[in-house]
Amino acid sequence: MPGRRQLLSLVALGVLCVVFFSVGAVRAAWGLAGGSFPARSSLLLLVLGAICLVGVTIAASRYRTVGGVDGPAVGTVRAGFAVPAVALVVVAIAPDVDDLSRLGGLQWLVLGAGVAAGVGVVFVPRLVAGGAFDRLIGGLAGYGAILDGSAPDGGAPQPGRFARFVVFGSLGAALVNAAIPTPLVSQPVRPHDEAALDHLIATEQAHLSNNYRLYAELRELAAGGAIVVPPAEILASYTLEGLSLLEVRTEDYDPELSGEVAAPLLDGVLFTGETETELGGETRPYIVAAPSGREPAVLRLLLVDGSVIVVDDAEYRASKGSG
Amino acid sequence: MIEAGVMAWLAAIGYAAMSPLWTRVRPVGLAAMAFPIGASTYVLAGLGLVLVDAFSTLAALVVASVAAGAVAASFGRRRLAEPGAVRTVIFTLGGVVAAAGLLSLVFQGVHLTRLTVDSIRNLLTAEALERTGTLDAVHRGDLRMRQFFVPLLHTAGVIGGRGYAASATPLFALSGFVAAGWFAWEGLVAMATPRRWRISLLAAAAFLVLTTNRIVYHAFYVNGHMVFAVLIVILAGSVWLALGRGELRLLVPAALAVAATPVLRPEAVITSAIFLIPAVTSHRIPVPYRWMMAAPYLAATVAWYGVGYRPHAVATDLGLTGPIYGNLIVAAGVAAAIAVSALPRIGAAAGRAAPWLTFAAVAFYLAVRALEDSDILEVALSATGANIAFDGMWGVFWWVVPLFAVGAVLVARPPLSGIWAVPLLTYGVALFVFAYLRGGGYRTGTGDSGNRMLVHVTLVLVVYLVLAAGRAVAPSGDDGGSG
Repeated sequence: MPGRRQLLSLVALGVLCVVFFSVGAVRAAWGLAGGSFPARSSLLLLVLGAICLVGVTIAASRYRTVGGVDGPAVGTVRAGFAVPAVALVVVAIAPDVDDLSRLGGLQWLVLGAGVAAGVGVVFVPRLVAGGAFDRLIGGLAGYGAILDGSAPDGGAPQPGRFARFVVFGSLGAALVNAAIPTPLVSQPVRPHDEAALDHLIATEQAHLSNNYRLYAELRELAAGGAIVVPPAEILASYTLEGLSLLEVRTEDYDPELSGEVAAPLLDGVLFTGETETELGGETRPYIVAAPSGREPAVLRLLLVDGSVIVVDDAEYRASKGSG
Repeated sequence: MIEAGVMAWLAAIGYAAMSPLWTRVRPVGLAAMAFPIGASTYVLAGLGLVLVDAFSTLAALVVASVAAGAVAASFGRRRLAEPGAVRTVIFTLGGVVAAAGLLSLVFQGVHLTRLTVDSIRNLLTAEALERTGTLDAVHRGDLRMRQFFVPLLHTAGVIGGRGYAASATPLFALSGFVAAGWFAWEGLVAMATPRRWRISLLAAAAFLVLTTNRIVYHAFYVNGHMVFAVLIVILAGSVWLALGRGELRLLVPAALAVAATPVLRPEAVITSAIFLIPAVTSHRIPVPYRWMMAAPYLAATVAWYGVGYRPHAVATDLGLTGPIYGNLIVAAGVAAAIAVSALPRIGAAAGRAAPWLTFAAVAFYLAVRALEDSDILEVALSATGANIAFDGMWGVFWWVVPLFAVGAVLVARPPLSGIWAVPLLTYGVALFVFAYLRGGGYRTGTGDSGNRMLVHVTLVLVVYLVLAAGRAVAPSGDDGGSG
């Protein structure tokens, strides 16, 4: 019967999906609980589970829509095995690739699943199963069957069902969206105050000019071995009771230059100090921008009428109501 | 008035640049794409002028006009020779110009503009470029992170004295919404979807889009996210229609839409490649057309990252995954994909596999980086999950759209669905690659880069879902294998 062996492949892919998700979840939970399994491989397992799920849906849809998986789908199903098989092996041994004797029990399990999946690429499509898989596959493709009203074992589809699902689903979502109190939907947008905008631009330009002046000073320092790098990254901006609140990171966002200047960004927060960093194998002094007495860190700045006020962390937390 | 004049001028440039399509597609389609294509052409002209330190808004407009005029003189003349064409073209061009100008005035008057610190940085770049004509006065960090497509859009506001062009992003958004609707409508008609379903699906999609906070927000936000979303939907939609109809002239707007994206955002070369590769490796397109379609994008990437940006780069930009070599490698990959897909014996198979190989390459890169450092991925996944669930202010958009997408895969895929589906899937993975490339995970909140970058694919996604649903109710539409 056409597609029978592919059915088995499909079911196996579904099983892999479950394995990925469950093992990944266990490992992630274990890792979160302080266990020894690396979070990265757990996370990857979850991602692989999602990829397998996509493979399952694609393969299932082909099965259901053409009455049996045809030639091209065999490739799809095999790829559905091959990719996770290779990935599983990599994930299982990568953290300890230099010493396989250190593999833990779950890692061996993952490795075994990877090898099994690899074997499955070759052998599973050769295996032929009975009609019971029709019903199993019906379960996998059930969502699609619900959407178009067809029975997974070949009942007549009602093509309008999916289209109605999209139409009424979209309209329902639109109603919910409209009901959510967000600024652009449930309230009229407040036009920007032209004067405030001019003031903001002027302030930015003043800061930029100030930056150039300070850059010039820093360049002089750079001539003596310091490194000058671009301004700090602005992480977020908030509006708190009508006041603009910026969150900036005063260390540079470039990891290779991390910890260097950030920037003579805003009046009142510049503090220069010197320490050392290693760049290209050479240790040189560099400039740190941070408020007096602080390490480079995330700062929260309040813009009030163009002036910058450093908000103390405790004060900030209190203002946010989080103590 | 200056701003309205510039916006109308850009629309005219776009309409002229698409002259090979005059009389070949419905006027509403050309009208919808005119402003974005004109803006893209203008930015390409701006790129050329920036390279020789001679940028000014007027000069870029003149160069773009000459280029578009040359295209119109070459191709448009043949179109105008057709019966009734002169009248159609004149009325459409007049309508496009008048609509762009009037809508610009409306958007300036209504003034829903949203500005953040990112916007201000873009505007400072616009001011510096207009004032000096060179990139020397532009802050290097701004150039790297924000490039100069958006600043060039707003130089009209600089010379107009306002500091920014309040109507530029809204015009982009409106054009994109109409263009997306036009692509979907044309596709539904081609699939013989019953009229009542065509209307129902488009109306429902419009309601969903227009009530989603982030989409509306970005329509008025001075930044490049909505601009990118519109250019990507024009790319994908034009390619899809071109392949479906065998009307290769439709590749013109696709090529022009993607051409200026390399100077739009630091990761735009990658995103554009993801959506470009299914087209330029398709065996349905003759090889010379594939090269012609990709050439502007490849040239812009090489001109910008290989020549223009280099003097303004810092040391860390020069790594293999840095903006210079990273983007040049991606461009080389696109060129290689075209070349391989053109080979005599393996070309067709390679072309079919190319979109999936792109997906595999992106996924492999993510896996390798995640093995090196899983923290970034964990943070990015966590934040993106929170953002699409609630914190990103998407409403329930991302609650329902994935359900529709799975249904689209299971129930009815539109013809040539690979043009839409595979790049969308790849982009979903690439979004997390971008977190690594920028050196930090995403964060929870509306202003997060990951949350903003979701906007880039919303219009493409909605068009794909509408087409899939339309396919389900089209005659013999219960077919998943036609793509």
